[in-house]
Amino acid sequence: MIWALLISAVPVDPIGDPLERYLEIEDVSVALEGLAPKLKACAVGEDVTVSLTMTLSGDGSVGLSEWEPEAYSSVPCWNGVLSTHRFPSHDDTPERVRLSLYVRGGALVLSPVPELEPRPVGPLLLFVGGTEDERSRIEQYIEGTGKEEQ
Amino acid sequence: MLGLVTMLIGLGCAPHHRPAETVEVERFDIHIEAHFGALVDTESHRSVQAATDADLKLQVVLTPVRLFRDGSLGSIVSIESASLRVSEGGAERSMPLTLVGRTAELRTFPNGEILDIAWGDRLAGLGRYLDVFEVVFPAISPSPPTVEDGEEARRRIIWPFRGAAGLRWDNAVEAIWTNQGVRKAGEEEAWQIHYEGPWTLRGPARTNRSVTSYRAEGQGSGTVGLERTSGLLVSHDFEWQRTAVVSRKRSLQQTQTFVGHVERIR
Repeated sequence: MIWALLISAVPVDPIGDPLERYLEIEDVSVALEGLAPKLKACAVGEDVTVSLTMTLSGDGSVGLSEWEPEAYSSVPCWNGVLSTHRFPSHDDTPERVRLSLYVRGGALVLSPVPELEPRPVGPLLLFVGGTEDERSRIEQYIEGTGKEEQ
Repeated sequence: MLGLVTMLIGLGCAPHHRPAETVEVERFDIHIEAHFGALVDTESHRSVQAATDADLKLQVVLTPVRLFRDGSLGSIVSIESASLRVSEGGAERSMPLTLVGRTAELRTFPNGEILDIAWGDRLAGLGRYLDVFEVVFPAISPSPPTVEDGEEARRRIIWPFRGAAGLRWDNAVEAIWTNQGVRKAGEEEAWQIHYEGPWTLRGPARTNRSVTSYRAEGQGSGTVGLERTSGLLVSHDFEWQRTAVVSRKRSLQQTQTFVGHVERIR
């Protein structure tokens, strides 16, 4: 009886999805929904499409942001927003995210599909102790697309 | 929560089952000396990378965090320190690592048998390498069967590697375990459970563009030290070797040997 009560009291996980320890593109999209109203609160000027590349640190802060064109009038205000906004925390090295901001007729729209820069991991299972270039050479060899194949 | 988990998963009374009160945060030092043979094209026998020796040192923390409906336990494996030195043609150098601070979730049955390793791909690839040094996972969670002193029993050591959609391979060591009795291990008495058996790895990775085949054959052996009073892992000495083959349009082969020692840190 006691065991039954104890078992019923434990919040078991019936599904078993991995714990949210790392950022995935869906997490970034949801977080950007929270960011959009803050960015829209900044005054915007003429119609423009601005590209933003930012790094999201493990504590959820924005570590680096690069704007193109950098000189657009709203960028200082947007930088202020990013400096106080918190994305979900994660266990990886800073993740690079790219998106576009569209200013049209005084309104701001964020690109619906941001990009989360993937970390190249191949070739797996084989120890290749060199640089990323060396790993890429081995990956291309397996793929049959390297210089040695041509 | 953790207390309840602790009570629920401790059901065994055999020497190396974890008793109820002993599930806790565990910290391990891991040292693996590896030899990686040349990367060789299996058809042309051409070598595309020279042989390498590597020396990996890790300190990991295993923290139980949740209980699943099937009775299995989720534990976070955190990398607290890491160093890797490699030697190629007599020249030795340190390899830059980005492992410290990274985590994976180990899902095991209460006896330590690995069901899944979530986020294992975050510990893989350039600067991380635990796709190759994946023996780290069974090294800290080897799951010996219940076996009486002086006797032997069979139990497979299994674990998967999973990545993005379509990437998965599965390892299995068909191990025969022998209880070699209790010996002094430092200040503690520990059951010494020896194992050995053939090691196989199979798995395809499918993407829109290609299918990659991962295969390996080899042998694993080792001796696990389990604290007499608690049944917890206190040490693990092992020597595992395999020949790994990765195939897409070309196939590359590499012999891999891992000689390692795991020690619980108080």
